[in-house]
Amino acid sequence: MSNLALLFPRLVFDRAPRAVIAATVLLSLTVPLLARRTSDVAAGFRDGLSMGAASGASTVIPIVAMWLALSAAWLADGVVSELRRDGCGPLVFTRPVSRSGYLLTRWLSGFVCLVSAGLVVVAVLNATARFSGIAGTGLSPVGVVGAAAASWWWVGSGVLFFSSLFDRGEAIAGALLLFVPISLAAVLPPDNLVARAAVLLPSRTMLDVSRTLLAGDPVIGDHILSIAAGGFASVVVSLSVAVRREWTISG
Amino acid sequence: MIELTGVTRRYRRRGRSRVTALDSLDLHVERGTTLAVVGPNGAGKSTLFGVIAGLVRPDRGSVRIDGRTPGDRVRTEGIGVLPDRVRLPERRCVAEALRRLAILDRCPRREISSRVDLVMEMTGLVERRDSRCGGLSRGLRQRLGLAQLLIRPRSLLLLDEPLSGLDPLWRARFRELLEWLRAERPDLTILLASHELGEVGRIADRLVVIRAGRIVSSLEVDDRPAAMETRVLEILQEARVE
Repeated sequence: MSNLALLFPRLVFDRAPRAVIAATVLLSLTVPLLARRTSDVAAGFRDGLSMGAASGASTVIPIVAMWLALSAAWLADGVVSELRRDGCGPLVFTRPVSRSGYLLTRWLSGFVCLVSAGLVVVAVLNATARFSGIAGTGLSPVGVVGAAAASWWWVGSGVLFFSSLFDRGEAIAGALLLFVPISLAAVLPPDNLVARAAVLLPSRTMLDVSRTLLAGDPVIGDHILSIAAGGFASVVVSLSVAVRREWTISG
Repeated sequence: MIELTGVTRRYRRRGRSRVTALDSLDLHVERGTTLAVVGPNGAGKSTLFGVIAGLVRPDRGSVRIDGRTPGDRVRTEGIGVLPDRVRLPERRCVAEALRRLAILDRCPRREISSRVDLVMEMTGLVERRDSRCGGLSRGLRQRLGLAQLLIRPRSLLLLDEPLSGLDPLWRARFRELLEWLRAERPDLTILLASHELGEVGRIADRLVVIRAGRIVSSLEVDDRPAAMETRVLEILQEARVE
């Protein structure tokens, strides 16, 4: 296990700088614009996903929550598919290292990347709130860590499952299959009918939790339980599948 | 000692029927032997190595390495593998890629840098230490593959087309390094897949010819590479006719 502990910071720094820089640039440029230009869409999200008073007037929170979910999907996709794409699976999995331990280490390193990126983004948004004029940006670091954890635990484990089943690209496609219809359902007329049906979807729950955490409302006990249980099951199944996958040593 | 008994592995190809990569294959390799596996493309050499390395599961049959399953063997000691095309993350530099593999090899923390420096020197990669793996030529990648084997030499090495892409100078150097490894570890067992029969004759003690997932012949390697090459070609021709 000590070798994996030694490897962990390297795995984090593999992706964290890129994730943080890309997220900061992208969000600090686009969120103020999106928040102003897409207020109707954001309202649709808010109504459709029954955010209620927790979100207040903020149009940033749904965007940040959705961004965290998509980033979690992107980062978690790499846990297995990067090994396939890079072709270094055979060199890693013939060394004296536990496959599940190695994949779990990669998975956890993705979470650290997501939290780092989230903290930087929120710091930038808060710092520029005065200039951007966005209402309700007072996002706390604790809320971001909680929302990132919820996204990672649920979305990250879900994508890990797709990533362990399929080769590169298909995992992200699987994640999009989950999120695009939900996002569309949230804003489509009439009267967000489809979105109300989506209340039953677990990803809805995760988005609710993320946004509630971002908005600083800690009353999320039921949701946390469902996310924790679902995420745990998904991680266990995904790692079991990923560990059993075969690797070819021919180019 | 490696023992494969009745190992069968089939693959399902998209839109096609199943392909038998290994067909009730039996193989017995004594410890300390260098065994060459030769055969045409698609004969099952890489699948055979994958099965021994625990990367591919056989549909039937058993694989034992010193009495243990490949999975157990990998977990406790590891198996040295040199794929026919060495691939490492393209953006990562050579030294960092080797450092990470050294960590996975359970090298003591303090020795990692010195060991990586040593293997880069042995394989002529010192000047390329900061080059990205993605920018390396085929030959340099093979040398990188060799370097990762030398970080912490295992007692079992699986070398799939190890000489491909290497220039004559580095082929000779490769042979020297294998000799050095064998001197360092008398119990070293090497399985080597290659199409280059001349080189095989210089490296291996024994040779098996594989075709359509079966071993069709087993030969002792003697000091007449030309005669051996002719014999192997005859065997492959005969197997084709059958």
